[in-house]
Amino acid sequence: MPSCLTSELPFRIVGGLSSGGVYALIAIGYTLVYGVLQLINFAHSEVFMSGILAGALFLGAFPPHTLGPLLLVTAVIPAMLTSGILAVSIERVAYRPLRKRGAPRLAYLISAIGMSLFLQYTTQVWRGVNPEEFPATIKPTAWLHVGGVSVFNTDVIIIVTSLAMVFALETFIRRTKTGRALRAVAQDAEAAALMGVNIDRIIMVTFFIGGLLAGVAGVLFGMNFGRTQWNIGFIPGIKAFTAAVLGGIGSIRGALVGGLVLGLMENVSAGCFGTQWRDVVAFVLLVGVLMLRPTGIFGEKTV
Amino acid sequence: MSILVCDKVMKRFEGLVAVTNVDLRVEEGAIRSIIGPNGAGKTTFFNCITGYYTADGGSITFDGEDVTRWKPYRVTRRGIARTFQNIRLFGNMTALENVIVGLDAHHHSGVLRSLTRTPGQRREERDAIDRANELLRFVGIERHARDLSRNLSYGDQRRLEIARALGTDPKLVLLDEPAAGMNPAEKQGLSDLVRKIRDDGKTVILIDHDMRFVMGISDRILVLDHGEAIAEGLPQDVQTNPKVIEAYLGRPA
Amino acid sequence: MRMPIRRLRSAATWRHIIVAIVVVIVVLLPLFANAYQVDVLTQAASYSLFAVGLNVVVGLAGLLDLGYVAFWAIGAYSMAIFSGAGPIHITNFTPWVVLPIGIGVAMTAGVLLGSPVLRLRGDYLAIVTLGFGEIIRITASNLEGVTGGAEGIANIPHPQVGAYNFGSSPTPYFYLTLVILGIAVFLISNLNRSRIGRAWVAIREDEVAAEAMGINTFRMKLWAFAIGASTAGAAGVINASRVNFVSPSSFMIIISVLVLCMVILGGMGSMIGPIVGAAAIVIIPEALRDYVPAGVRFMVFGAILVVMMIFRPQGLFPSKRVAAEQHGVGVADEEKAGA
Ligand SMILES: Nc1ncnc2c1ncn2[C@@H]1O[C@H](COP(=O)(O)OP(=O)(O)O)[C@@H](O)[C@H]1O
Ligand SMILES: [Mg+2]
Repeated sequence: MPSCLTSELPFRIVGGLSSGGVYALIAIGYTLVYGVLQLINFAHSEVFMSGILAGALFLGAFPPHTLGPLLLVTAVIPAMLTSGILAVSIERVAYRPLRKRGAPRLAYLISAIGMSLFLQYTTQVWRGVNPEEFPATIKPTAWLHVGGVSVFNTDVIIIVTSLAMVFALETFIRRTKTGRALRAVAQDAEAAALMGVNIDRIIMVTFFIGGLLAGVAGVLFGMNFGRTQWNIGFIPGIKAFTAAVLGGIGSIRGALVGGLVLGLMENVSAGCFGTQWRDVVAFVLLVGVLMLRPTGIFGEKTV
Repeated sequence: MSILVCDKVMKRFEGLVAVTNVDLRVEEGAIRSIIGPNGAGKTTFFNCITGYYTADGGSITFDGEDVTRWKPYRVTRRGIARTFQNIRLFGNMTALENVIVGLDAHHHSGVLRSLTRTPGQRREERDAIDRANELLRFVGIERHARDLSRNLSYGDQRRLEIARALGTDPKLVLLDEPAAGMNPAEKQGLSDLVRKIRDDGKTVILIDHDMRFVMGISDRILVLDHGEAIAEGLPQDVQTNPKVIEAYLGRPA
Repeated sequence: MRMPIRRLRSAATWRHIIVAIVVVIVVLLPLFANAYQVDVLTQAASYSLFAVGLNVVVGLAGLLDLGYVAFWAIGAYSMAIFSGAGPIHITNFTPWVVLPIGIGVAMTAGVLLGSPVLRLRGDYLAIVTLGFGEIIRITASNLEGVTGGAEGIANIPHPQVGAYNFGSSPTPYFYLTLVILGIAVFLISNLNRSRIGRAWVAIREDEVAAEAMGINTFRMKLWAFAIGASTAGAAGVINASRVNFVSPSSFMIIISVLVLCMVILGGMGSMIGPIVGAAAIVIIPEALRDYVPAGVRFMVFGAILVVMMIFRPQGLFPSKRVAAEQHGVGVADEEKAGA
């Protein structure tokens, strides 16, 4: 047995769950938007990136000795707002005009890709090509020692936060009028419109919620990773999408499960095959999952 | 000879049985109708025959061959053409091009011949235009040959869809509610067209709600309700069948 | 009734004349340009070929392939490996021999990738191809024994005709690329006007109805994929032998998006559009090189994609049909149930 499956395994599991929690929070943005628009919002990876950057800029404004857990929690607010507002703006600029025109699906995809490119390079022009520091607020310390494996505080924070966010979102969707309207639109937009649901508003809310969670994910990622860069959203973005597909796109709990499973699998296999193949694992998984369910997740086509 | 034999065809959607053990035997050269209230499973039954759905039970034999699990394009090439309840033309193609796409089903020029435009390929293209014009004339819309199909009137679109289906040179034509939304005069025209298609040597099965319309042209009628065949027979027998009257007028509470 | 047809025909004649004049000018250009300018022209021609191939996939078959650069990479690596320049020496073929091989390998890769993924819905296709492009690139950087890893492979031979070696001067490559571009455009426009082209339009407009017309939609998409891949393969082979070097860093995802931008700007589905788009996107930034940083360029390309989709989805030199589709109704509800 290779060590990645024996002695290293528990350590890799914790790390996997922690990166999986971040994927899950991003994945929810994909899943929600897919639910109401049947569209992959390629620019969502930049929504996530904007959250990291906003967090970094906010924390950077404070003198280093004041940085601590409390500021980290506070940094979540500007990050969420930045990502949320950016997500809503993307919908306004890149998708709504196409929706009003009844444009073919291909047009949405191209617009989405264009938006993603635009945001990446705008950030590059603004912040430069090189990585910037995400100010450290919490010193990673081992909190728990379980059979020789240390569990870091950062890992625990990420896992707990993502579980809490998913729970909060589910409650919101079940309990509030807006949440129920959102579900109605996801099930059948036309019927929902007939019932008096304001589709434009619900779509906006959907993008906003997706953005908020991506903002949280951004701060968690920044805390763990310690830096930010113009193109940092790309790879986690694709992986989060993979997570959404893995868990069954359209489902919030699925995004959580998918994120955690993906995080686990790539972390364990990175141990087995070497870190340079880490990203390939996610892509292969994505292709594999889609292949095994060729009609996507929706079953037979309808006539 | 029976050109189509459906034996206990069944189709389920999670929790809902849309078609339950439906038998249907259609003789060559017949005009058959399938009627039934909305949601009875008529379209689903057509979808099973044409390969859009795979039946969960039973079998479908066409012209002596079991086509139950075939893909739609194979079913079409084998000789079953269809139209759709909600018209599905290629809106940005002209009427003529729509029909040529139908004709393409039996054209032989593949990628290599098309890349190099061999004489055979060019002949095929020329002949296709003539044949497509002929079909447009057959259904009575030749004057619209060069119009984009989405600019045609509703009735003409229905006719174009039939012409396009005929382009695939079918033995059996399935028409899903071809008379929907038509006024009585247009329906009369449609009846004449359906008979013309039959006289041209084809078998026709059509779906409709309108009893009067169906009575006038069908040899036999199949009545579906909640996915079940509740009656089958000659028009006058079906019309007086108490089960059918019940299905159409609503059940006593 | 006859007038409009005649007018149409004379418009077509005019178009032919204009195209002919432009072709002549382009062919003569190297005589009036310095080596650097010819080099830029050659890049433009190379990207044109690349864009013409992507246009078959995106513009004609309506499939968004974001991993398209992978086929270019496959062509380029075929050139490097089969010519014996790489770390493993299987063969020592000349570029002329590798050209058909590279096209074949790229086409095979297109079919192999296409067969599983073309059954997916459009959105999934886009992201899976994106992933595929990355897999190819990462694999190329990691398989040092075959591809030279991140360092790449250098000393790829130049083509030779008799005693004349193409060398590193751009002019012969310019003409070579132009010839291949001409052949590709000729063949593809034949295809577009045939039964195959009609099948693609039908699939783009309504896949369900297309199947009812006896079209094997999967097979038609696979053809589009294979033709696109082989065109990219050809561009990859020639380009590798021109710059005489390949490395994974030339095959970033951004190249796929760049080429997509060329197709969109010029006009999806049109035959001249992608060429004009490629020329514009290679030459204009090159001319502004000293004034506009690279980041701003890509910003603008991203904006172009969005703005074009909003205001002029058919591109600058549109195919009439694509223009109608993009603005028309009736395409949007492709998966509505017809209960
Ligand atoms: N793809 C599908 N998924 C789920 N249910 C379906 C699907 N297609 C049809 N149905 C259901 O099957 C039943 C029969 O529908 P249909 O065949 O369209 O009826 P009809 O054509 O007789 O009006 C309806 O209850 C319909 O909602
Ligand atoms: Mg129906």
